[in-house]
Amino acid sequence: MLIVEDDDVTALVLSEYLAAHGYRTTVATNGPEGISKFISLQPDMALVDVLLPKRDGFDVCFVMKACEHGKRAPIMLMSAIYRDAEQAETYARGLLAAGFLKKPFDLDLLVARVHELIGPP
Amino acid sequence: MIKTLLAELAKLREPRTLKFGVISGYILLACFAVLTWVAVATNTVPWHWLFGALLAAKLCTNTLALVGLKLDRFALELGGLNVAMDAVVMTGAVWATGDIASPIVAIYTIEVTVLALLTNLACTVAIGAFMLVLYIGMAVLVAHGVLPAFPTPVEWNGRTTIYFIVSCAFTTFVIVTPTLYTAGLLRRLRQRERALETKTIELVDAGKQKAQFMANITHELRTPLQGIMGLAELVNKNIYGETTDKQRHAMEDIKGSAMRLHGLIDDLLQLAMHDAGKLEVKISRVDIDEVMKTAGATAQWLLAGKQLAVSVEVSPAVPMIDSDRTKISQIVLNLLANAIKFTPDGGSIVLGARPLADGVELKVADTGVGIPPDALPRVFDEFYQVDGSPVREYGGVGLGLALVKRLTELLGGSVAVTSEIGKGTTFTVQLPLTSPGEKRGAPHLRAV
Repeated sequence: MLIVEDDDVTALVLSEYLAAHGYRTTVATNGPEGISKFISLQPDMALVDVLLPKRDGFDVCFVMKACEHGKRAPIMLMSAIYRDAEQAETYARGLLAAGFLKKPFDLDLLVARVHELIGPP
Repeated sequence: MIKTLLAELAKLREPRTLKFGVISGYILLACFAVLTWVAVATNTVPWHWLFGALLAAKLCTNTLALVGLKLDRFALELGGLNVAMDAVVMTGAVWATGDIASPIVAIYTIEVTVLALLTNLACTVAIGAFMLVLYIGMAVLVAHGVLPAFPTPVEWNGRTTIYFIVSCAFTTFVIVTPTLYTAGLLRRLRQRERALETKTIELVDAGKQKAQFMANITHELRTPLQGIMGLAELVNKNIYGETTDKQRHAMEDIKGSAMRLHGLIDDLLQLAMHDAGKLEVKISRVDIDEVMKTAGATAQWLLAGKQLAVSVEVSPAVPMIDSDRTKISQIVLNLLANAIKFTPDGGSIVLGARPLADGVELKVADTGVGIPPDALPRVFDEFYQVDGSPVREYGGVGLGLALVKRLTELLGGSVAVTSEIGKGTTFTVQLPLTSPGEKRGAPHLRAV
């Protein structure tokens, strides 16, 4: 799965934890890189931060969902900055994302959501 | 209304205004003295003792006002008396020039206009009423023959050229003086208004920038904290190999501290948004039972190893309310964090909710150290700490409860506290069935 996250440590934590649960992960640190990796690597799903350099996560999600591969792979958005969590969730759904995670989230919750979306590794 | 007017009268403390009153008083006095002398000397108006008495009285009050101003004692009272005397002298002049047929009745308007522009509403109304009483009183006294009636200037010599010129000059004076005053004052007012407008725009911009800055800075502060918490969790969950109990406890403490810091950053952002008027209330159906249970579950994170029994007791009769879930949750979590902080090991905390006739009541009760009675009214003040000394036992900056109060009020509710030293503290939050705020409409989202 693809993790688009500009903060190195957060990306490390996410990928290590998912890897420990058997998921193979790749990290992209900005919007355009995320989109190109999404297209070239065709991950089972993508976890996209909203506040990203160059292109924000909403934009990235929109482009991913417009790709052929995006029609199959679910995308989760996440952010520490949101005015109101419920509204963010609604907006994420409007972009055809599978959901919105407000940071900081419980890592087990993330694994549970991933498991729910793409099944066991 | 009369009370407010009187209160306003007492507020007049501008030496500049009083000084103006004294100077103009002397000028007025000199003019009237010359006019009286000319009128009597040319035998146009017969001498009456009241002329002299009025001029002398005015000289007295004016001088008294000047002395009061110089010594800075009774300046306001003497100034007021002087202005009242102005009105009396003017009435005298009107009387001497043909009472109700006098052509100089308009001098009253100068006094009223100048007072209106230099002083305040109360003063103007008072002097206006006083003049009216004087005028009518004088007219009645003349009509009943108590005061002698004098001929009007036009009756002195008929419509002479001099009369024509003086009359035109007088009318010009009466019209131009207030006009110039008003014009000058209005121009100053407009300038101030424009300056104020610019200032307001600047302030609004600054407020927006501040909120944006706070949003940015909190994001920058939160990101590394998430890293800390995440890594601690990775170690804690044995992702990096087996850990000992001691190591796990250390990781839990790291995470707990990071969580507290995270909460504090959230509170600061909320307060900044509230100050910038940016806290919006988003109304939706809120299940209080669910909010309280979620908060109870979060307690495990906030406890950070502390041995406390946290229980949730929500009455089944508690209705769903129309309110802002995020904010209610924040209120409860802040109260819970507060309770945890001030309850020693072995204590217990109860999160409760019960229905009210017109809303719901949330309760966070602890068996903690309690709050002294004299400190109770201040616990909701920003940055207030019951023990503010440098050696105090409990940390924190005193933002949590201030935020609770603001958020509760934002939701149309109220928060109260009861406490007993050594026994514990209970915070109760009452929320209405429907909070004021924007109904959830079309979703739109912006960072922040």
